[in-house]
Amino acid sequence: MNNNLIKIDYDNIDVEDIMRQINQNINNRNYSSDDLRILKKDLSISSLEGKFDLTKLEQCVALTNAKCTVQKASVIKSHRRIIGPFIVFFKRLIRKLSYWYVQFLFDQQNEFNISAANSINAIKKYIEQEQETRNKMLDVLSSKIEILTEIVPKIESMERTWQELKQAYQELYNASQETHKACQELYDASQELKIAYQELYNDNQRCRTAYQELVNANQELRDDLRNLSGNIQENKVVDKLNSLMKMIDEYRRIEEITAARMRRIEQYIKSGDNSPSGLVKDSSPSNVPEVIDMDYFLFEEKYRGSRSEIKDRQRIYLDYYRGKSNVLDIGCGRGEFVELLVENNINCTGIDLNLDNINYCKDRGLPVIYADALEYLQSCEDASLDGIFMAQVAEHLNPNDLIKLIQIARKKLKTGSYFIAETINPQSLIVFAESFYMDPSHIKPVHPLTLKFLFETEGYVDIEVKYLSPVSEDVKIPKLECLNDVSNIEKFNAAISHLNNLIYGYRDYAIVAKR
Amino acid sequence: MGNRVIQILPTFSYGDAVSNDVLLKYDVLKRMGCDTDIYAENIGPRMSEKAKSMKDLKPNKDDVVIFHMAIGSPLSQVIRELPAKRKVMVYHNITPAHFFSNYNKVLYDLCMEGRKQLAVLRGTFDMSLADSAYNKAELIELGYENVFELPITIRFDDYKTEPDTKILQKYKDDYVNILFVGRIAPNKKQEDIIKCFYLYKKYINPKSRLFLVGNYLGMERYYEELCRLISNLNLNDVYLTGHTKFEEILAYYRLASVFLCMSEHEGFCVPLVESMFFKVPIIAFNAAAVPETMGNSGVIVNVKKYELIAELIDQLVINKELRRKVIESQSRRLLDFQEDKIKERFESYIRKVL
Repeated sequence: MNNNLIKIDYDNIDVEDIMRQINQNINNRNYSSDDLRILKKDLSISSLEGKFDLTKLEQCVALTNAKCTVQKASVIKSHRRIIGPFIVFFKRLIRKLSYWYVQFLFDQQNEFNISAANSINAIKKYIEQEQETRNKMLDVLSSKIEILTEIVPKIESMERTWQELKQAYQELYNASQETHKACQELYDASQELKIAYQELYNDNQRCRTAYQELVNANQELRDDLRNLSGNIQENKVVDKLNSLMKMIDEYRRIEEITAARMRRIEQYIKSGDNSPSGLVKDSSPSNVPEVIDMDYFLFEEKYRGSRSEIKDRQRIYLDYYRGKSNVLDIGCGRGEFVELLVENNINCTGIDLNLDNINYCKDRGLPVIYADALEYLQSCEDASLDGIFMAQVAEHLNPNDLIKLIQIARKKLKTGSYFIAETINPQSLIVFAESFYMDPSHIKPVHPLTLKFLFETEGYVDIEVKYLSPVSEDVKIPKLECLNDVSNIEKFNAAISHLNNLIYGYRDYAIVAKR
Repeated sequence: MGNRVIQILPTFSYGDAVSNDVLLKYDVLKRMGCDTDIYAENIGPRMSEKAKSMKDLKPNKDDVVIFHMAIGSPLSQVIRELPAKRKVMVYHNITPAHFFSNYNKVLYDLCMEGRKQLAVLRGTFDMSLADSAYNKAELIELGYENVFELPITIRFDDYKTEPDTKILQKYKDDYVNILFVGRIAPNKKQEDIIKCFYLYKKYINPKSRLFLVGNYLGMERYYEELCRLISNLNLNDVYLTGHTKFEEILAYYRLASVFLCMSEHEGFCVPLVESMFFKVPIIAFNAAAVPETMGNSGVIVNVKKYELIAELIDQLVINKELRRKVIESQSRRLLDFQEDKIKERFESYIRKVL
């Protein structure tokens, strides 16, 4: 330890030894503790460095108070026997004489000293008071701090719990939102299901009725047959049979529609989508036009005419495709022409943008694809098709797409093969009154001369316009047949004939064009 | 050389360590063949021949400027803006202002200002030379770069001057003379020397004296306090010499038995080296650059335990073997401060910036 007090680190000086000597000397010399204490005191002007010390202040203030007045000079005395009185006399004389010059200075000094001492005393008092107040405050503070130290962890844990609760609530809220949404969807679906069920139920009822009618008819037939054995009336039987066949057809038709409707509803429910156009299956054309959200299948079923009617009407085109092996039916619909081709051993493909139609055809085993015409044609190899048929499609296309279609089709057709495009005939006004505006997916009717022109300009040859579906003569305005001589009856009848042509002209026409 | 190298300092006065250092560096620069001058803001009465006023300085962008920093002054700002090829600072340390807080408001402010300026001047100098590792550390802490340690230059030839005979005659007796040389200043803690001496004289050796050699100009209040302390202790044989002539100082060194340094702040402390020169054994308190200047010599005390120090004085007086070894160690240390060595080192540093 002594080594730390001094440092002498050379010439093998034994510091321990020196320190031992020094300590021995210190003990022997009896240093007075008073002396050592006095030496510890700082110089009289204490440094402002360091902390405030109230005890020190008290000592200083006591000294200030004790010495604040200048003491009066002591009494003048002398111990000398002879000259003493003289000395005393002279000293007193000098004091008296100087009194007037000195005393006012002393008075001023005393006044100032007392005032200064008072000020210091007041300041000291203030400090003491403040310290007392501060100590009290500190006591209060420390007790508050104690309380706080107890409370703080509680608050912290409460805060944590609050955070957890908040999070849990949020999760719960989110979950409930999802549940609510799911419930809503479920409810919507159930509503749709309910409607679909009602429709199905109705259809089923109709089927039953039809079936009952059929049974009844069958019964009637049996009765008739029984009658026939006794009473042969050939014509009546044939009529009965015909009506029965019609009934069976009607029944089959209703069954098919019902099946298609059921399928549509089933898929609708499965997909959970709001729009039937969402029922995209297998391949999906990218270029699906804006969907008109109506049941087009049912619409066609109701207003286009029965499949057998259509098939009969389209039979006239068969000759153009005999012996071909790759015919494309654009807008195949319920597959009437595809079926005709298949029945006649002609390889073909039907395409359509209505999924209901496609599913319907697929159910019947017909070779159809859900595809957009332009996209499909593009995907075909050039000169790979040997026939294109397109019935009741042109009026659904915008002019540019129609032109493009005719262009591409020519590329894809083999030379000598036919492109037949059937559409409604705008030259007959009845078409507008009865059918064209019925179908909301119709865009624009195409004039036969325009369509012919389009084919011509694209380089097709042997172009022919066929007018089809004449209006029944019963509907037309009859010619006047007057026995009395009417001077302008000829003219009148010619005009009526013209008017009949204008109003009741052919409902459809077809362009037959060769590549 | 061709280059002009100028030294600038706030106050150039006779006898102070910084001014002496400036003069010796001037010699070196002259010898190197430099065109060199000393410029100061205040020039002491006996120094007007050797230095020029700052007012007459015509700065040149090719100058090498050496600035001596020991206290705050308006020059610190001037030096920042002075056009020069290179700027060098010689840092002699600045006494912490708090030592002066009760004694000299002007000095207090100047020291405060000096510390601030020292921080601001960072980056101004291409090189800094510090009197001690203690000073160097301060600069590095402030962010100075290129700082080298170079002890202050001391002209030992001066000490070979004949000492004042009157003083020698007056005190030539068998008394033990305790000596401290240095301005009367609170940081030098002369009161502690008095306290040690009090015990030494009272308990160990009544036939002893204390010489506190140093000017007390500007430190009158501290001086009065020391006087009051001496009077309160009823202490005789303490001599506060006030301003003394150089020859007189030499005489006190000659008379001294022990050199006692209780200073609490020194950037270098030339009197320690002087004591080494005069073969006076040193007891010094371990503070600031003091132990560094002492090197491995003298006696360093780590605590101000007055009776211990009094006894140490006694040991150095009566233990002849110890005294001899201490003086020898100091003489060895003295070699490190040889004038030529320090001058050579200064020259090599200056060549780097020419």
